Amino acid sequence: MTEQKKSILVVDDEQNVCEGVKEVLEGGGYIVTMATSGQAAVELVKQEPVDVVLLDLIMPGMDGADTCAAIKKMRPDTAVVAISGSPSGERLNRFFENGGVDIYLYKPFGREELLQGVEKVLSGDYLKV
Amino acid sequence: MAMKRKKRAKRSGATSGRTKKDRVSKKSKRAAELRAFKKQAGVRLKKDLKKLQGATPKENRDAVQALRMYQAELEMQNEELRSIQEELEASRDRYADLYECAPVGYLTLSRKGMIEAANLTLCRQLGYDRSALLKKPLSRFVHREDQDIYFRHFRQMLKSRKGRTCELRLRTKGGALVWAFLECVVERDRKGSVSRARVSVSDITEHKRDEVALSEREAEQQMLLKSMANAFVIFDSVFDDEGRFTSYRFVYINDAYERITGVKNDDVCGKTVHEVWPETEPEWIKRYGEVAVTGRTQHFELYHDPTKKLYDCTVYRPYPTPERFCVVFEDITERVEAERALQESEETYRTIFDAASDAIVVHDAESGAILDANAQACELYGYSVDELKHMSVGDVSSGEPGYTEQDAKRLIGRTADGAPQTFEWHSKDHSGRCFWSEVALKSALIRGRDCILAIVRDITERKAAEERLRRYSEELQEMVEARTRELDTTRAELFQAAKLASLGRMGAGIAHQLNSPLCGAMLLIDALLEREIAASEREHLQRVRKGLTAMRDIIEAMLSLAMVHRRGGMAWEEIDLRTVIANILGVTEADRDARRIALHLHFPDAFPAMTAFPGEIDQAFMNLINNAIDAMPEGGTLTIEGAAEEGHLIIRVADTGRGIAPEHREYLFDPFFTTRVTEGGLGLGLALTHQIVTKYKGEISVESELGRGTIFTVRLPLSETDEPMEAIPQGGEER
Repeated sequence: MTEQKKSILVVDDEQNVCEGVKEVLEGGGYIVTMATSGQAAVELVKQEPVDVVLLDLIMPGMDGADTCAAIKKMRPDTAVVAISGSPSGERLNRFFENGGVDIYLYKPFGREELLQGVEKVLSGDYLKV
Repeated sequence: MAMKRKKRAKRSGATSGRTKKDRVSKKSKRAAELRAFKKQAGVRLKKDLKKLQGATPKENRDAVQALRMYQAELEMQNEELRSIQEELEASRDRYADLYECAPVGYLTLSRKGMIEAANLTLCRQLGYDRSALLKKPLSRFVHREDQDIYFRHFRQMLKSRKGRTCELRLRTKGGALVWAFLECVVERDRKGSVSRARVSVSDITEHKRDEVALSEREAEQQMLLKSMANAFVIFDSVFDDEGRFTSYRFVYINDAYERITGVKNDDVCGKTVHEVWPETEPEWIKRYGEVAVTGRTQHFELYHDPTKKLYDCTVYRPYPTPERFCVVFEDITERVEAERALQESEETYRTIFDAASDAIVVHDAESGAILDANAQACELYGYSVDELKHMSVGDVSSGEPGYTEQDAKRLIGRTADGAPQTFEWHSKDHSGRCFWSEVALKSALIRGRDCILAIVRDITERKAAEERLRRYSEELQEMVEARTRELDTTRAELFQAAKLASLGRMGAGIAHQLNSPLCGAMLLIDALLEREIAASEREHLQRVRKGLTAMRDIIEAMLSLAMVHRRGGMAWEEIDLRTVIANILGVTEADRDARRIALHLHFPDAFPAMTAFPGEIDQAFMNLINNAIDAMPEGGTLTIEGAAEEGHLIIRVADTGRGIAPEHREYLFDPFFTTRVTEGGLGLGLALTHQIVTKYKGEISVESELGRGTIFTVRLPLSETDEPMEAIPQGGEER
């Protein structure tokens, strides 16, 4: 493992998703915090910056796009990985253009896909997608 | 005295002719004379004999002597008389001949007009016997119409007591009429009044006939001259002292001349032309003078101002001398005017004819011969008018079947019968170029002749345009048909797509609901599997994890129907269908085994890879194979064959199951069409397969027989997939 662990915030209104991501990424050597709403996520990032935010797009209250925008506004260096169960071209594009989402992971995904996605966004390789 | 008596007797005898009867009466007369003479002599003798009674012998002798001498003298006298008589008879016969056989008829009329004597010639002239004429009035033999002439003539003769002549017609015994010239001389008695008339009768019938004929001919000639249609004039030349022809004088003008000039024969005859028309042009004097002097006939047209007319004149000199000449006139003012008008009309016609923008050819209605053509026609055909006039309609036709001279004449004939024709004609010009023309035929009466007007228009360009239009129209129609076919296909596809899209939207909703819990479960299990756990637990977890993956695939399939490919579809990959099939067979192995389904797999060693989005092709064949297995619940044989031909990959999936009812085949590829509702069939499998195969521009077909099995054949193009396809297809939308 690297000397300084990367910090990752997972935001999803589905508790199991948060738990699953946390379990897998911690197993992968990352420091993982969780939030089950957009507001909570923004608060956490405000208190302490993270390297990567895994952000569910469709959530009650503040949705993924707004959350992403708020986070990017505060911490532009934060990488955002969108995670969603049913993306459409239109909404996906809006995220990429306005929300500052860097890469996208389709639900449901497994351990391998998650780790690959995070590694990809941290290595800055995602622009090629 | 005796001679005198005899002469008289002869004269009276002459009147009675020399018939036998006449001779008999003459003899008896003479015998009577002789008896008288003898009686006288006897008386004298008795006297003398009385003297002798008592005479001396001497005296007797002397007396006898004297008697003898007397006797001799008498005998001599008798002889002389006899010779005189003979002479007289000869003379009488001569005169009788002259009288009887004279070349003219003679007759003697009594004071009362009775015929007393007539010669033989007259008898012959009238055809009667002399006896039929004698003692008859001459008037009986005069023609009824000439009775007046005769009686007037006869009366005047009696009155004047002089000879007269007259002409009248006598009627012959046969009824014929004879023109006779009667010349009478009168015989007067002692008192001087007419006792009888001697008349000679000459037959002048021939002469009369000639005379009548002559006068008739003269009258006829006069009439002809007078009434002839042309004006006719006889002029006398007028010369001056030096012998120059200076004027002319009217001698005779006929009716036509009077009519034309308005002068009257009685007014102008004897006058010179200058007296009648002082303004007569010198040219007239000059022309007439030439004819009068030279005698050479002249013919000319000359205007005469006094009568304001134009004349056609023939001047000639009938006699060898210059004194007189004749002129035949014809008033040609109107004719020349008419000719001029005709010419003007002709020029006007020509101008209009040539100004027409269409070519016009005039044909004879009967023969079809070309009579005239306008300037446009000459330009169109490349001939002059004169050339066209010597050509037939066939010479300006292409002569191809339907466009021959006979065809043209038939059309002209129909038009002449009263049915105007309009048609397209294949014409030919001077250079031999054939071209299309539109011809309108109409009948017309030109200069009193039945003609057909052919109005010809070159429609080469129009024809070409029509042809272009026709081709364009055909192309367009083909395009429309092709496009219609495409549209039909597209519409069918759209209909299908619409159904799938609604399914996709529903699927997307379900996916959203399921994907997050599924994701949490998968991550948690994956996390668990990373830990140190018992082998049995690991096996269970792995089985659950597999089930979760299957669930994910189902959701994915539903999204696929909505053409929402999210996963693994971001890049093209080379796919070996053999591997794809093998993977599917591996997944379905348990099911096949459970149903005791035998497998036959036939693929060639060299089987090209195709380019596709991973997952889609898997999905297509997974559905076919699952269907085949489901069709054989009681077992059977699954046969999968692959072939590569002509740029296509062909995969055949065959089962020996229950087969598909014919009425179901139509709906086979429709979403949610299933015959296995009770077995949990969603009816999405074949719809999805069809969707995917179609997307790759492939084809899928089915053969099936109830109770025998079904064969699905998928035909996928290799080349089509070389072109990149949409990485992210449009379709359903998240809701």
